[in-house]
Amino acid sequence: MTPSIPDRFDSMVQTLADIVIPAIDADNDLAREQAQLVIAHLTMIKSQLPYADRFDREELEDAITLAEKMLQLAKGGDVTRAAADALGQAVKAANPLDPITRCEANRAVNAASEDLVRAVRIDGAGDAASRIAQIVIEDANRKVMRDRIWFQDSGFDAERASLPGLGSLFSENG
Amino acid sequence: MIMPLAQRELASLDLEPHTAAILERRLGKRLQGPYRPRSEADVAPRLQKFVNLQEGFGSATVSNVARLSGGASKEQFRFDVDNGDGQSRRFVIRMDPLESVVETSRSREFEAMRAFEGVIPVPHAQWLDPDGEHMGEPAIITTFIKGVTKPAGAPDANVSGLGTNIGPDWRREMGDQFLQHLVAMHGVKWDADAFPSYSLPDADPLQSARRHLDWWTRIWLEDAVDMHPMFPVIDGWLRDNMPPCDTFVFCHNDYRTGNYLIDEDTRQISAILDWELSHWGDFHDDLAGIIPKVLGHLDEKGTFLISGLMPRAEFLDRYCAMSGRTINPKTLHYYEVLQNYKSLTIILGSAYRVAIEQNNHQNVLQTWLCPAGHIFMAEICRLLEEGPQQ
Repeated sequence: MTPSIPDRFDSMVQTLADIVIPAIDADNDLAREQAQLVIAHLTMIKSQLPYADRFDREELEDAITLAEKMLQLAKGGDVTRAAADALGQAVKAANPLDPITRCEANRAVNAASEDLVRAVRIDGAGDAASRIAQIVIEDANRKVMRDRIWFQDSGFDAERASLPGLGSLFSENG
Repeated sequence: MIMPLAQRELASLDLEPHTAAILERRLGKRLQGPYRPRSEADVAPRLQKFVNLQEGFGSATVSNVARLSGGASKEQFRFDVDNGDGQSRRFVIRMDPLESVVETSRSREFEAMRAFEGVIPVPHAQWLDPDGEHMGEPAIITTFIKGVTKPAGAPDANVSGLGTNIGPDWRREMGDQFLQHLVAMHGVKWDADAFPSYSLPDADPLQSARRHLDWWTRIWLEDAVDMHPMFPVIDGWLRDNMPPCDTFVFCHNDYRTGNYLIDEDTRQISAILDWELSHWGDFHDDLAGIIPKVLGHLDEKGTFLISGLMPRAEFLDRYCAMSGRTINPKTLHYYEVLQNYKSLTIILGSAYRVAIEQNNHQNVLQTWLCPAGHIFMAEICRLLEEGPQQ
């Protein structure tokens, strides 16, 4: 009984394309470019929308998984211990199932993870810094493919023709 | 929020003094937003006053002020000046928004363009308002040069100009000229009088790499919206593997298709633009800035072309043959990681930051650019995994 979110996106895009952009002064290239970018954003968001909740949830779940692996390796002096404590608290407070707090929780876990990497470079024990660096790189390598697929419609990826569709990101787990 | 360990790291960074001052200034400006893009009505009277202050232009008339499209980093307007001699001359003013995706110095752009005039095609740097005393924000005024970044009939380009495809009919000629101008630029000798805002990184053999790394680490530490553990991992790798350098060249540091103009009638590069990231450093640094994936594209047969001009191996081989330099694969690999780190920081750090602060003239473009960061991240992962190419 109410217009769906995709239908509302469609009406916004149609209005911008058929009414707003033609009304922009012929010399105003900046305004025309910005309006076209708004259309591109809306179109990309519309295609991501059915998967957005799962994407955001997995982002936080992955950040927590990486943080827990880092915590297992984070042995060292006072600086490392303090950063590990902070990361442990951020992980404990994060709830991937809560869509309201998910974004802030993801930021908090990633910020504390970044701080822990800096900490182990200062007083991490033994090879803690290099082992943590290795798992962070492995995680980034895996996650970056997901990000490339997620944002393929932006057109920046020279290999976008070979990337699978958005649905492929969630085909094996729910 | 800057985390405590990041604060500690910030205090230890080694930047060029002029660059450090510019970055310090931006933190104060950040608090003045949100920003509204400049209008012709605002720019025109300021320009009129500023031009009339210039020697020999006291009674000149400014007209036809109009915004130029593009300019993801700076706001640009073209205008005409009639100095009473019956000849109208066209100029371009390039101004900082309140906060740019790359916060840089108009003085350095001015010095670079003056220094390279007559060496390679550049607009004439006419006037400078280094601190925005007259124009409200720092500004440089240059002559208007005829040309396009993408010839008529070329395939569609991304709005940012990244990965511009000029089409197969133009690649050979533009590639030849692109290389000639790069080699000429790298052949210019350091001159402290010509480059007063620059400094040579010659305090020790590692300062060239360290200063460039510290520049972008500072940006990340001050701009990050969504922090990520990969950033200090990359920074750590770069810090552990800095190559020495004792011979310095002028690095344009953003030399790519999209940053030069093509005169379609003469089929010549008519102007090399966007000097704002330039610095003196290792020639490998500048080469590495030209070859990232986001700046190129696949040709009609599926071969990747750096900057849309030629395959990587051809580019590097021809550069060596023309310059007489020898590439150290390990040093080039180092700077490829650093250049991707630079771009990653600009895109996922600064572009995101200025957009959410609403301090830029193209906030929607800045958020549109953010996904390009993942391509740079993918490249860094690949480079760290594979090591140097022989």
